[in-house]
Amino acid sequence: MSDDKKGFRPSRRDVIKAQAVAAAAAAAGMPLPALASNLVTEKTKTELKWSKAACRFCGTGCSVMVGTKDGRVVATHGDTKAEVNRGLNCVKGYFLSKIMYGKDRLQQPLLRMKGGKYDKQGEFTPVSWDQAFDVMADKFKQAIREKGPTAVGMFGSGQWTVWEGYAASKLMKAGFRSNNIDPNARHCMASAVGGFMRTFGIDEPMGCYDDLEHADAFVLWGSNMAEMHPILWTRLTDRRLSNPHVQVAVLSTFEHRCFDLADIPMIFTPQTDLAILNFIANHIITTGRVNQDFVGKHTNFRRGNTDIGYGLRPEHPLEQKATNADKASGSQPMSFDEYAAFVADYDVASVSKLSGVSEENLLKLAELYADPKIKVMSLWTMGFNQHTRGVWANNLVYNIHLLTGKISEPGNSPFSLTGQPSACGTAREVGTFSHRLPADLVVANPKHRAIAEKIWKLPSGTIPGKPGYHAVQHNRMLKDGKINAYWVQVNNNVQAAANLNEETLPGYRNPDNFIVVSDAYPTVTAQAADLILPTAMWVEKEGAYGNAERRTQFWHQLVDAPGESRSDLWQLVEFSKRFTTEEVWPAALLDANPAYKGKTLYEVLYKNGNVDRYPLSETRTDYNNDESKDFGFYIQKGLFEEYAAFGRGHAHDLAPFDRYHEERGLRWPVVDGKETRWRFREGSDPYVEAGTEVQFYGKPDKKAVIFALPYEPAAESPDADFDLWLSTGRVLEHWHSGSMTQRVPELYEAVPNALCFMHPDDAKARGLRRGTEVRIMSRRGEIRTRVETRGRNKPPRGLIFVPWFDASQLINKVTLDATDPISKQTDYKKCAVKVIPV
Amino acid sequence: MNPIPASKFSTARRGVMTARFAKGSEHVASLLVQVRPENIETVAPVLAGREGVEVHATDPKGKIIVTVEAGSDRRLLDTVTWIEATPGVIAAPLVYHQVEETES
Repeated sequence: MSDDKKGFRPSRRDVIKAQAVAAAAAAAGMPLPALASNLVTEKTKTELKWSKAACRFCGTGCSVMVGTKDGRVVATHGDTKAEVNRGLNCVKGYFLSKIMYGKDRLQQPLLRMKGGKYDKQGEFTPVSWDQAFDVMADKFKQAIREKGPTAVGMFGSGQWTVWEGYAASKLMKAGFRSNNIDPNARHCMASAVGGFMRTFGIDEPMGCYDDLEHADAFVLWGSNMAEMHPILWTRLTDRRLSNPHVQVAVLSTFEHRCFDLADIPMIFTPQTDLAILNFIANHIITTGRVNQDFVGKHTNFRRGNTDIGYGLRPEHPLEQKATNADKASGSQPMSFDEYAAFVADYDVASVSKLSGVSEENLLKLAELYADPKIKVMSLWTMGFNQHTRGVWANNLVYNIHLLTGKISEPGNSPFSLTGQPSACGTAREVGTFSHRLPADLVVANPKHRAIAEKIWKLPSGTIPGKPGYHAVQHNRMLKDGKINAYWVQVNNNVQAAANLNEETLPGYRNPDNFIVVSDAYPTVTAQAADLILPTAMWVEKEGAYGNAERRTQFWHQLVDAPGESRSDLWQLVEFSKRFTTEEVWPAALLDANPAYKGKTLYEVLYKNGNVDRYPLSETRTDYNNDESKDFGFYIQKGLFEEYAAFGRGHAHDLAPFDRYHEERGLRWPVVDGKETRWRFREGSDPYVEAGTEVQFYGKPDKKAVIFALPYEPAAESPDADFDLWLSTGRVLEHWHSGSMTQRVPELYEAVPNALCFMHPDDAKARGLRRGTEVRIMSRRGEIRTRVETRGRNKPPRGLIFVPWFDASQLINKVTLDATDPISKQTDYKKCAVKVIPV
Repeated sequence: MNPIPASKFSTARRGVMTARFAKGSEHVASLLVQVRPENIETVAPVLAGREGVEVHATDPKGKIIVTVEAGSDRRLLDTVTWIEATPGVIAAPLVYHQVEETES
């Protein structure tokens, strides 16, 4: 390659390189170097067809330009027109050109068969879509006939596109009349949702990424942004380096790459974040820095129920012992003085002792919030959310922003980061949870059900009022034989769910159950299934995602899916054709509404005059659209516009469908064509009435709630037998459970196996060295792995960190399925283990 | 496509994660390297000294534009990982990536 550089005649490689340099210069706002300006011509730019798409990987929501040639994706670059990433991309961008082209890409439905027939003990055998759907429909009908709608379930994802999640929710809640649909976002975002609903009565952050350029201080609560949200980390780094007064505080249970930039680095003992948050509130009060005007006008105080258990099975001793396990989310009003007395116990000396953070650093941290001159942004992800007191942790961080009035304005921003690309846009906004409907409506509220039934043109009483099983219960109910027909889309839950040995596998392999997995690759979840459906992914379909700052983004289908792969959307809608209302709805409902008799679920749910309202001719001629061609109408547009009817005029307004194809996303509510950057603030949010300054309009009295909630210990802590904390998480190179990124060989080889990150002194005390093969054992199971005492993750003594991407070393044999009793989200960050040599 | 025998089903199967791609691919990528401004003069020459890496421009605010060329998937990531781990580098976001298969 070096000889290419020397000649005067530019090689093809020089031209590509010049384009790469030009893109970097544009992203950096730097002048174009001479090499690039000479070689990048209009002609070279048009060699590839460039189109925008939202990145497939995390919740940041970067926009990427995707270059296609001969029907394949061959290049990507950060989109310079995108406000989120401004031309940059992170290392995950290297996967984007390749995630669709793994050698083991599934291309045909595979059914377990023996002797030419479906057999649970059979071998995976290629079948046609017709054969696959015949068997599948038969199993779903049998389950509903024998045990009713609660015997079917679906496990979806924050990686579903908006309309896929919407079509799925409709099929389950209105079609099969089962609320047993939950997304894997339950594992990552449920506590964040619980926190928003409890404090503000409306989901998702009030601020936006613009806060990164306005804040004077950043506090990372457990979040490892440098590895997990690199683009936002780049923006934060820019702010810190170009403004010397800016401070960065990093809190974590182990040292990671963000500590390189930390002005206030803090390692704390797991679970004591709750005490630190209450200490900060106490500090704000005792130093007289409560924003009395703000607190008086815009907040209420409530005392939350305590001793709420750990979301385990009801017969577990910890649940039997908990006094409020069944009233976990309850609370009573209290006064400011009572609240002040409540947090008075959390003084700097005792919290320092409990948390292991020095008094000096605790005071510095508290001042970032207490000092009225400092604009502070709090950032968190799984550290707060995967926590048996996750909703509390979210409530407590809002407390300190509300006490000081540091909220809903540029730079003052409690910000819940998101893990998946559409955890917000699909799982939360569409409401694919077992208790939710679109736009923050819930199934338990009869008025909300009536709204949904009206928009969906369905008879009153179609949607069941009882919330379905949540994610962790799915596996328990499969094991117990309460759910018998089950469909998994866009996720790898056998690997991701806690307590694999005792709950997940017995559920999937229960002889009474039929398990369908839609995926692009043979993940462990696919292999644990009975039927695998090959799935079109990312730019093989027209899509929409919603990111962590309420930004909705669209892309076109840019390439065709291989073999017989079909999108999740096609699968859901096509499958609905196989059911008549008589087969799945009770006779009483049909007798009262005879017009629905003899109809298929396809006709009732999707050919309902809304979803099929926009003709095929409205699709673009320069992009394919497989689903719309198949069904004969612009199905993505029809689904989106029907869905948008839920939120328009109700503080969840979305723009008209076509506009999103022209924009790099818009942040809702979009009112009169304008997006909203800071919600709840007069002048920025059109829903706030003139003269009020701030209105937390998610609550009837338009006031947010400050909650008194204590520190309570973790479900399991180290003891004499199991003497170490185990925390799990990700490493950058293996996003999520690795089912896509491990398809890219160089990434797999960079970190081929999960390691046990351990303090050198802990290793030494156990007679272990770097590289020693060990068993990590908990009360539930064990895995084998190797010790790593160096590297960029540096645990303190008493704690080990194990990434969870490696399908050959499933750490969830070891983890505890303790959950937050309010959000039902699993705590993957804390359980007790021991480590011994093999 | 070969059927996967049920008897082979195991959650510990390494085979699940060993997908391979066509060999022989040429990669060109550009990165925007961020360093503390006072470190530009020391970091840029270190980066430029690595095979396959070129420094195209620097900005006094602490930005360095580099390209990486590599003849295989693995070398590309090794180089990027090396850049990220270079002392003084705070972040090294990717901007552009193009891959061309040279044999099928």
